[in-house]
Amino acid sequence: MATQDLWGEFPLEETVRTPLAILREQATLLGQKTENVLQGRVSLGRSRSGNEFVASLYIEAPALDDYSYLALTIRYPVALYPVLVVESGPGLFPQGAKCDDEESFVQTLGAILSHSRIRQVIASLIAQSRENG
Amino acid sequence: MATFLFWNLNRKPLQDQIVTLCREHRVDILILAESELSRVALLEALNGGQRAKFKMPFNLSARLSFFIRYPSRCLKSVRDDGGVAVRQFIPPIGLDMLLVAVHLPSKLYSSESDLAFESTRVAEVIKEAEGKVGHSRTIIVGDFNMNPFEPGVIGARGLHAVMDRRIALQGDRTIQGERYRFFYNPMWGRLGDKSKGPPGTYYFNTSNYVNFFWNIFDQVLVRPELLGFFPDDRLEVLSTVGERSLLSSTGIPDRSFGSDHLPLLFEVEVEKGI
Repeated sequence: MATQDLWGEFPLEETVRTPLAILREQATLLGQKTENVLQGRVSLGRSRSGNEFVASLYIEAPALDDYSYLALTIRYPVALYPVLVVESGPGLFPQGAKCDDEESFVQTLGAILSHSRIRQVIASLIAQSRENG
Repeated sequence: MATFLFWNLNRKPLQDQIVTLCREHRVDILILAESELSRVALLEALNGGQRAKFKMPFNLSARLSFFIRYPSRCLKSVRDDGGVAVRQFIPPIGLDMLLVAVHLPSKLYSSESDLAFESTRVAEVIKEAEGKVGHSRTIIVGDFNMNPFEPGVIGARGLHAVMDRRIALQGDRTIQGERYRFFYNPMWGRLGDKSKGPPGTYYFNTSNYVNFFWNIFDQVLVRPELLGFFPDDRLEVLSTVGERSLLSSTGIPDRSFGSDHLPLLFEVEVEKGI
């Protein structure tokens, strides 16, 4: 008897950007935009229940003995969305922001990363790094 | 000897009270949570007419403020993780140590299990920072929003802070093959009305069936490596500022004069390490 394919068609051509990939892009961009005076780092773990991925974006200053500043943390399920974004500085979303899709996630990320508080952190770290360098 | 003062201000304008406390107790390191005071104005007030001046070291924490009576370079930023600020305290003479100031999420917005999860994260942050500075002479101080007996503080995967110095001095314990380092939590000795000072640091009356009334959310935890430098009897939950009480006539924090939290004062005999 011939083997029957029960899998159906895979959407191999479709390019899905995971929340983690989006975060990593931003981490890379930080290094490029600051001529590597600062670097972005993304750490990945699992939630305590094990049901969700937890990723954090850090701003790091190599010239300041690798001082690191947590910019935000995201939690997302295997299905990728919704993503819960918890920021640590600006105070834009005190209870975290729930993003139901990529568009909303990118928008939220943009609001946090371009916030004056984060810009202030970046400016301060660059100035301190140059002073030390 | 370095004298530390921690106070959660509950966004109150308590500048005069802070200045009085710092002069009264000759505070060397002042750490504030929930402060909306102008840092510059507070610094000026702290230093008015004083010989030894406070400085504001480099600090990017949005939730915790630091003022020190040492050169700014003596408090080095290691890491800022939201409500967790990790600093390396390098006194001009004596032992350097890791100072971790915390302001963990409020119980109003977080469940006990959320806070236990947060504690696991804090424990990981501390472990990484200890690896980075190459020692475990660590002290944690701040508003944990948990009592000493809650899982996030006592649990091995959390802060693993025990009530007995002798147990803490064993260093660690192994659970299912994994080693967990201890902290000593002297705040157990500050619980209840037979303790030295007020029965807690934070009073909250609810209509729930379980109501502790007094809580010790503000705590200091000490690694075994620092216990020889940490005199228990110098740890105080303060209830007065100068001549005036921080407690009302009913014995609970007087929010018209102070914060809803009481300040914590403690000392570390850093020079003993020379």
